[in-house]
Amino acid sequence: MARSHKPLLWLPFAAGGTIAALLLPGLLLFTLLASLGVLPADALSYSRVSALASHWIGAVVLFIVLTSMLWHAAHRLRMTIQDLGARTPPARQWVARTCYGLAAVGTLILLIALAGVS
Amino acid sequence: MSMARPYTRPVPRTWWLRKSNYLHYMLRELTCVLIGAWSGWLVFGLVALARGAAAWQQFVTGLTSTAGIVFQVAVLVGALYHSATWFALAPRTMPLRLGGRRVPAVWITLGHYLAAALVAVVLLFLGVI
Amino acid sequence: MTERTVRIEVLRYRPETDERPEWQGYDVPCREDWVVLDALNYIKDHLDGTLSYRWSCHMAVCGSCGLMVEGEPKLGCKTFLRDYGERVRVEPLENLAIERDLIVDMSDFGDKLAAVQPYLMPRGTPPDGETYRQTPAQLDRFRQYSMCINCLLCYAACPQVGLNPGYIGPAALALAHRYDLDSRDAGHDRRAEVTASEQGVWECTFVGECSEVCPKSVDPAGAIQQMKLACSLDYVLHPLRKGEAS
Repeated sequence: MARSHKPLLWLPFAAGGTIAALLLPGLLLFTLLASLGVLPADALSYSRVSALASHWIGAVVLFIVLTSMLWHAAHRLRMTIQDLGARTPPARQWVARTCYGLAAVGTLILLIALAGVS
Repeated sequence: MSMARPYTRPVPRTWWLRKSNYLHYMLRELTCVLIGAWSGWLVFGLVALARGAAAWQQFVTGLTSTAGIVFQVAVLVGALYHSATWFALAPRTMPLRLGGRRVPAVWITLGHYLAAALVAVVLLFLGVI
Repeated sequence: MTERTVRIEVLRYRPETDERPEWQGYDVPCREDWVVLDALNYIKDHLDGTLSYRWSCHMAVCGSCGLMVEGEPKLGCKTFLRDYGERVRVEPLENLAIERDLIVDMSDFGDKLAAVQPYLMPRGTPPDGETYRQTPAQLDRFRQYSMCINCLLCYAACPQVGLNPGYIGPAALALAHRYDLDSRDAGHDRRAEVTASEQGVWECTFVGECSEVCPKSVDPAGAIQQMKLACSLDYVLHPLRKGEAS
């Protein structure tokens, strides 16, 4: 046996899970209340959000938060699909590649989007 | 000659339905689908933002639609379950010792809840000003 | 002391005659304070001498009498019949191969336990005539994880053990952690070859059921998560450690 490279996937999972746990309830409450019109109308306005995303601090925060949540979800989904029935090595490999592949694509799109905003 | 013939009981695909603890575990794990979908949706929101005010307005319209609100409520429920389970388990992953003694697990959990509440307050404050 | 008749249904398996395990029921007159093990002993003594099962101390320290009672991993000597109804189903521990009746194959676990090198690998010996010194705080760090009685209830509870027979498993990993946390020990790197391998801590998804069923409150789930964190930080901070994965 030799040491696995799993830490490369587990650390983003742990970081993303912690960020999601601390941030998401508040963030979802915010967007929900904004969507329902409870918050002032300009809470989600183009000017406010693009000002946030184009500032380098805002962009870095958005990148870290969204990337970590994507990779958290990808790792957890991969392990869950294994729990639900993917047991053979080829099945496991396919599941892993699909899940992390989706996260990678999401990360790339995010990078391009953030570059396009600033 | 040995009479040994060990019998291996197969694990059914529905193993997680056999015990309520297993079911709770599976529900906890499946929150990642909602969280992943939400993150993906936000990424596309930023794509819309990059494409300009009109595209962003379309995204906001989607957010404020009935389907959008139902989705957000679903993600909120999933996120709350994720947070609750994550905070409950955090002290066991990172036991803290202060002054040579263990910090009670409940304090670590409550600390996490406090931090999450603080985040919510700050975000809502930023939304109101 | 009042008696009542409890129907104990046991999953029997005799490899020399049976194709597969079958249920067999026994009506046992039980005293109010009896545990499942008492009922099994009654069956063996008075009803059916062929019933095979492991037991020893009858006080939850030897770890011999692990079995499934109504689908939950329990110690037979610590499971009171008064907590159950008129019928109690008893099976061998889940996720482990059945050798005979309620006796499971523990050889696999034995190999896994040996693989994590569960013994002190000290960084040095104390000066002549002296013993190792350890403060109460240092002892407190690992004491909980030293309480394991190898009853294997955690292996029966863990779905990953069932889904992946190669997984090292909760008890073995928790014991490795016990030594990793011992201030006298310097063997973490050697144990990590196994505990940080694909079949080690990374197969765990923190279902947590192992800790729920542990009769000694070892919390193997917590131990494994702590090892995941330690291994990950090790991986990032010391990338040139030998033994990289193939």
